[in-house]
Amino acid sequence: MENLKLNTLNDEDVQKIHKATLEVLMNPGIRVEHEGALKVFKENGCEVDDETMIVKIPEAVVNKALSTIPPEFTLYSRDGKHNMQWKSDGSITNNNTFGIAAGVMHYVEPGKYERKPSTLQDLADICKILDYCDCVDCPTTPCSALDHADDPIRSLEEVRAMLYNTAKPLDFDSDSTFFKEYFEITKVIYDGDEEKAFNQPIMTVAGCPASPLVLDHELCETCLEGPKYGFPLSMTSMVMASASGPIYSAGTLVIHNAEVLTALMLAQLNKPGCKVIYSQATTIFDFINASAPIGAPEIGMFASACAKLAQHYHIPCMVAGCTSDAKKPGVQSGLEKAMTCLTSCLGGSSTVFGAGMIDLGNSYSKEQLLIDNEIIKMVRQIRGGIKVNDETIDLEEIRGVGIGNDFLGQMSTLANIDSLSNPKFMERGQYGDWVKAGCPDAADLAHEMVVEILSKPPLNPIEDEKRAKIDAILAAKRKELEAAQ
Amino acid sequence: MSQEELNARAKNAVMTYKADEAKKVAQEAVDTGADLVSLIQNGFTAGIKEVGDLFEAKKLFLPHIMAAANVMNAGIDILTPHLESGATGDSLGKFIICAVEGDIHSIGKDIVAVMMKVAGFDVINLGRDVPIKDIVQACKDNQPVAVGTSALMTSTMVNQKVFEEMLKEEGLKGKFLTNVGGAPTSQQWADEIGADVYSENASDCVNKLTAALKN
Repeated sequence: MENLKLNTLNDEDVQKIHKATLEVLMNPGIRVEHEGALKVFKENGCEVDDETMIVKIPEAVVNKALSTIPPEFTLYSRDGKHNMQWKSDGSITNNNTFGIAAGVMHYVEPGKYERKPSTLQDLADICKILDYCDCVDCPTTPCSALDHADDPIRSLEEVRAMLYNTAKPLDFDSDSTFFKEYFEITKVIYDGDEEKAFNQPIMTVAGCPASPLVLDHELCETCLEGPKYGFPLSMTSMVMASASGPIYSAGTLVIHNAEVLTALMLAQLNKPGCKVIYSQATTIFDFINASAPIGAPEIGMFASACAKLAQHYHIPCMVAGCTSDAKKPGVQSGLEKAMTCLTSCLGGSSTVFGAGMIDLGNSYSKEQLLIDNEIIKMVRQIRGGIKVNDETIDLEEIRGVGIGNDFLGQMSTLANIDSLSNPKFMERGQYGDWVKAGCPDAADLAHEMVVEILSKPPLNPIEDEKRAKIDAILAAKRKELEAAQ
Repeated sequence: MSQEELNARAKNAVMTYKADEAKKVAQEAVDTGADLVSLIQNGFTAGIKEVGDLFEAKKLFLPHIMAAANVMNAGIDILTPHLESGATGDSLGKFIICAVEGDIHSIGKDIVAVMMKVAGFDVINLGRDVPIKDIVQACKDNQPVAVGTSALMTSTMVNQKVFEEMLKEEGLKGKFLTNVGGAPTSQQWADEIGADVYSENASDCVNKLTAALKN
């Protein structure tokens, strides 16, 4: 069997969650903290209480809004070579980094790390490393530039750092204040072609509902304004089962579904046909540690369930996976990341985000990013399944090699040499070779590669002419904002 | 066709893993009375040495070496009946290899055999599950420079010790190097039973034996 799938929900489960979601959208409804958004819902037949800002959405409106969502789209890359297909049928699963850490766990020496607040340089370095990760398709803003915390154009600085260091599309931690500038930057990539910039977006914009059942002002602004520039809109619920959602996974999925669908419906009712993404970071609440663990097995279950719901609605989707709460690369991160990556990727989401993150999402590790690239590669190997046909059985070769010989030098072996897993950082050699190499673990080996990558210029540099134009956009915006202060 | 052209074709056949071409070149060389020793040394062997270098540089992998060796053997099989005994050119000496009595695991041992051949040894592969007395007899018959025994199980590695003891009894110990290999073996095991060399893998075997024989 090829393209293995994990069905966390069956069709009957999906129907039950869908029906319960419709019930919740009418009672108690959902609070929408944005006057313009309330107007959109009211004009489309929803019951709106202007005082409480609670919106009740009838089934007919749900059906109408969901019917205009594109079931697939392409997120383009600035070099045209790293485009990303977002499909809602579960046929393609991409992988992203995780966002948004406030710290970076720096490798000091074997077994020793030092956590520092994340910087713009960290963001640039992580994106540079990303271009060497053949299984991580896109950065979800991996960390914030805390050294630019009071910079009026921090968001634009972050876009620039990412864009100059990776050619891959950006799943971006957006700020609706700068949508116009993001679009101007996209236009530069297309040599000023506005139509291309709109139709071939290179970045998404994003928001997160405040669970349970609140869409705040910034999220609504993103839903209303982002699509006007052609940016695909990613809405990520982060319900915590037993705290901001019920302890029952099914009930938590209902809250999650209601929140994400409402945000996506707002975008559709305002601009039918705009590109949207059904996203998930929903997990559990840990009573003992008062935290929201994302290396927990439950996040993989929620992720694969959400992928199934998104497939039901024919919406491209992004879920968490390859995630960990470990404070540094090691046994815990390996276990949690392999478990959540496998569960989430087999769920059939359009993309799974998590590569490189550790520490509940609060820290990022460059070494872990390279290790995660290998975890993802191995998970993709499993997901691919086993192809059974005349060519792969190859009776003729079995007979040709005969009894007691070997297949090492067969032409089919040579032709398919890359088809077997071959991780760089997993120790598969003999004990003596490992001792001779200094007994390194995966993180030590990954660190060597981090040092090598960071000693070089970006793998896919942006053209000087485009760089100058983007620099000018940032300079102009900085001047404008500083003059206004 | 000149000797240089024949040699180049033979080398290219090995490096592109084309057994049919290797056989064709070998047959043409026989039919036209070309220098067969040169064809082996400067054609087939030159090709596999280049593949071996790329393997050492981690640019190619084990299947490439095995495939190249298969191609080389296909060519040499055609030449062998037409060669005078011992006329195959420069050799680092004879190397006998086998999996010891009771052990049927042969892939690792075969990989070592190929790598030793690539390195320039005249390899005599006795196969697997070889009785110790037969290995000793092969040593008497062939005067090797080294003998490698492979054991993949703790239950069969003891036969490597039996081999060492039998060599002493027969007065053969010290006349050639003994090498032990296989998953359960170690330098400690080699020291314990009196084997001259322990090899962790095929490259290790080539490096250690080549270095030891130079001394």
